[in-house]
Amino acid sequence: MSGFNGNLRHEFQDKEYRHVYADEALNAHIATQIKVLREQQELTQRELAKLAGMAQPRIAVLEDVNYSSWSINTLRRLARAFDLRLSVKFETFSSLISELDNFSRKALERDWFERDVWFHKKAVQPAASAILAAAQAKEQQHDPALQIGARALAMSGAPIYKMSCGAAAIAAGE
Amino acid sequence: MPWAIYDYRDHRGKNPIREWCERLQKPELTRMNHKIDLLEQNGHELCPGLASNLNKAPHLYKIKINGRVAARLFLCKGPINMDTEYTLLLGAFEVDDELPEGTLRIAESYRQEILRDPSNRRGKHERVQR
Repeated sequence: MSGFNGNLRHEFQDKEYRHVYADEALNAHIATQIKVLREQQELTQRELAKLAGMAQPRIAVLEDVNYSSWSINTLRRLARAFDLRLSVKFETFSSLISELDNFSRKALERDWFERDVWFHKKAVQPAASAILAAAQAKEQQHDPALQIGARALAMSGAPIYKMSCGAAAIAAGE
Repeated sequence: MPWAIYDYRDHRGKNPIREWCERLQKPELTRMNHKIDLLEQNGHELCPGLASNLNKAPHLYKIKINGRVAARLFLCKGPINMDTEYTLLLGAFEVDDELPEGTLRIAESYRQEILRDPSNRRGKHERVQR
């Protein structure tokens, strides 16, 4: 969706506005991703609570876009329960626009370790691996140079394994 | 799929949602605009707690904005096309967890007015910017 991009370009000129908006977006992102990941792993709130060593009502509180008192330790416990890594980074405001554009259930889902293809396939050749990793990072930007590189690699016959994230789909020219 | 967001219009064609949003302080207005952006992009079901169902008014939803004041925005799905639209009906402020008397009744009556005369009693959402 791009309808709000024009609004945010103007509104983000105001420092207070952009920081409050980004805080809200962060709250919504975390709360929604917890729910999406829990549903992806077919867990009830009670089951997730048990895995994370919390009470079920606590999960209900965390799965609410109006919640804002996040702690890294709580998120670490959830990451461990989901068997995913927690990533906390400082980012530009422009990157928020593309995050908002791509905000969807699919974009929030993650393959936990047991489904993380990279760890459960034969080793990919180093060059292919590097291009795939770069393509994966740039996937949503559809970087044409990476797509060309990945396609060339695919045509060369180097083994490229299909990955659920879609990067390999770019590599194979699908 | 993006959803269309509409504002209720009164019988004079005025937009009470816009007037209510103009009364919000900047942080509350920012939070409101963000939540409306989420609603427009994904509907209310993806984000937990974005718009909660109301037991006392089955057609209405409530968006909560916490801050210096407890701003509450009441809305409905549709009510013309239930799969592609939301209509913002009424803004209110909670004091001590209490809404002004009749808030839900008024919001529901606005929904009924829109159902009777959709072309005149609502218009595209007007975003308030500062």
